[in-house]
Amino acid sequence: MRIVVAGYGPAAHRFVETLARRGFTGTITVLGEEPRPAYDRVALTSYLSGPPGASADDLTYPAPGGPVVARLGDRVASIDRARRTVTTEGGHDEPYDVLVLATGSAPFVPPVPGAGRAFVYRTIDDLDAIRAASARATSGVVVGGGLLGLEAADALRGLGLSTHVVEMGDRLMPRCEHFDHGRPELFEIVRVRRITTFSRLIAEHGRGRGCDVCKPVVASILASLNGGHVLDGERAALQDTNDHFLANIQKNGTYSVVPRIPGGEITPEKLIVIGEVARDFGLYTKITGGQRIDLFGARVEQLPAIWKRLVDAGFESGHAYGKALRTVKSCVGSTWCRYGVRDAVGMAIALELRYRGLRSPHKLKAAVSGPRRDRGRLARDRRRPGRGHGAARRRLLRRMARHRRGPRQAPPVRQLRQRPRHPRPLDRLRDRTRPDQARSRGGDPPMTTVQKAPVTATGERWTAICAYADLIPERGAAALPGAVRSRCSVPSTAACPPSGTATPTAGRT
Amino acid sequence: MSRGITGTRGDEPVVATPMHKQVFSLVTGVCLDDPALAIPTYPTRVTNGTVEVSVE
Repeated sequence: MRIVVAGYGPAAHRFVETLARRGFTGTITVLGEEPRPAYDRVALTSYLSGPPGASADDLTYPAPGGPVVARLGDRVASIDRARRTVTTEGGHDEPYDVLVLATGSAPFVPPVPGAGRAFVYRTIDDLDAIRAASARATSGVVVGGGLLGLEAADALRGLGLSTHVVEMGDRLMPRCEHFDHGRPELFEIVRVRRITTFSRLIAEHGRGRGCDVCKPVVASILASLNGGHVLDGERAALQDTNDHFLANIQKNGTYSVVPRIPGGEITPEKLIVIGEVARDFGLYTKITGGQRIDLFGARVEQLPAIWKRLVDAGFESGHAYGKALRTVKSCVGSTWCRYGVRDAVGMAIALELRYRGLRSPHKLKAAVSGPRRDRGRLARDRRRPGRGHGAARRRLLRRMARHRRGPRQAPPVRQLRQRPRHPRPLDRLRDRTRPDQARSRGGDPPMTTVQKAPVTATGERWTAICAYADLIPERGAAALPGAVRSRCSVPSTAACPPSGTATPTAGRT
Repeated sequence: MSRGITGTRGDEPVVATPMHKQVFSLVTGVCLDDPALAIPTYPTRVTNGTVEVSVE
């Protein structure tokens, strides 16, 4: 067995090392572009800022044992898969049985004016060039405030330059002390390697024992990908206090409680219960931006009694603390609004009830509006088509034609539920708020029976489209554009998720 | 503090307060983010599965 590895960076090194450790007996040839074997790129700064005389050799990984041949300074130029041979720029042919591409990637350099004078921070050659340039410079800018960006900034400072860091996020170094990966990378690692515990993730891909930054991050990733109860077993110790107490800790150590009010729609009876709970426990109440009510000032020992009262009245947690679906807001829609043509409230309630309890890598919020005109869209389309004949002009003409036919409309939820097209508004409101009466009149099933179903495209916008799909019983998945259909698996409406995917809500409305 | 998340900073076992996330050493009680602050610590041991805390 001849294994050829194209590229000789840390990934190639680790691969070869692992093969050797597992007793691989064939031959391994590593073809590297750089004139030296793999080295520790995370420690590159020490090469620049280290004591005088620091050399590239200090960073080089120990040579892997076993039958490894390394060809350095000669990069792979082409692959002939039919002949199973790679050819290097130097014209050397290397036959293989298995070819491993471990080339890494080229850093992205933003196409800004002066980009030609920019350096990337990846190889020892890059660092030599930076050091040479610094001799005749007074200031330096580092683009990117991640781990390597800050390392580079420190190195520039060490070279005597006035140093600036530009970062697009709202904070520097969005990684965790215990992992060399950002959140999206951790998500991919957990997904691809099917990791189900924090201890395995940190043992295989991190160091130390975690902290208050990375533990909740990983808890959310595990909950998003694996289902199961967020407080089961080892996972309980990963969660913030808020998830344990179904409430948000506030500055004086008391908690605030936010019951779920789907779509912002609430009956007088439930409003009274919230008022009574607030009064009896001495809580400060405030209407939130998410169309619900926050009750502040609960002491931790009061929380079980507060939740008992709320659950008995049909409330559940609004997950105001979770990396989960928070709330789906809505405008009042056609039920009351003179200009409403769509049932925005009904749609918001349907979405919120369907996705409540869904854990995600970050918090999820949504909103539904159903006005008659999308004014923004119309304003944009008052542009006149130009004289050109390009794709942009064709698109604009198409869109104008569509508007002459009438505004583009969202899927008509009211029709999908096979309601009469223009029911009296008060009947419709009562259907939703008094489902018992709706049922006895043979009306629609109450919205609270909307089925929950597993969502595979977690956290992606496609989930919203999936939601439509199973609200369309007669059309189902066939109603979705092909590209969308392939992105999400449309669940059957009969399938409920394992109860564990929901967070502890202790009761359902 | 009992509601804080435990972990390590460097090699030091720590607990983070749930309110403002300052990190305190589980060994010395000193706040690693503000060394002027410290919380009391007590010697502990585990005997036959029971955690014993000395309050002497």
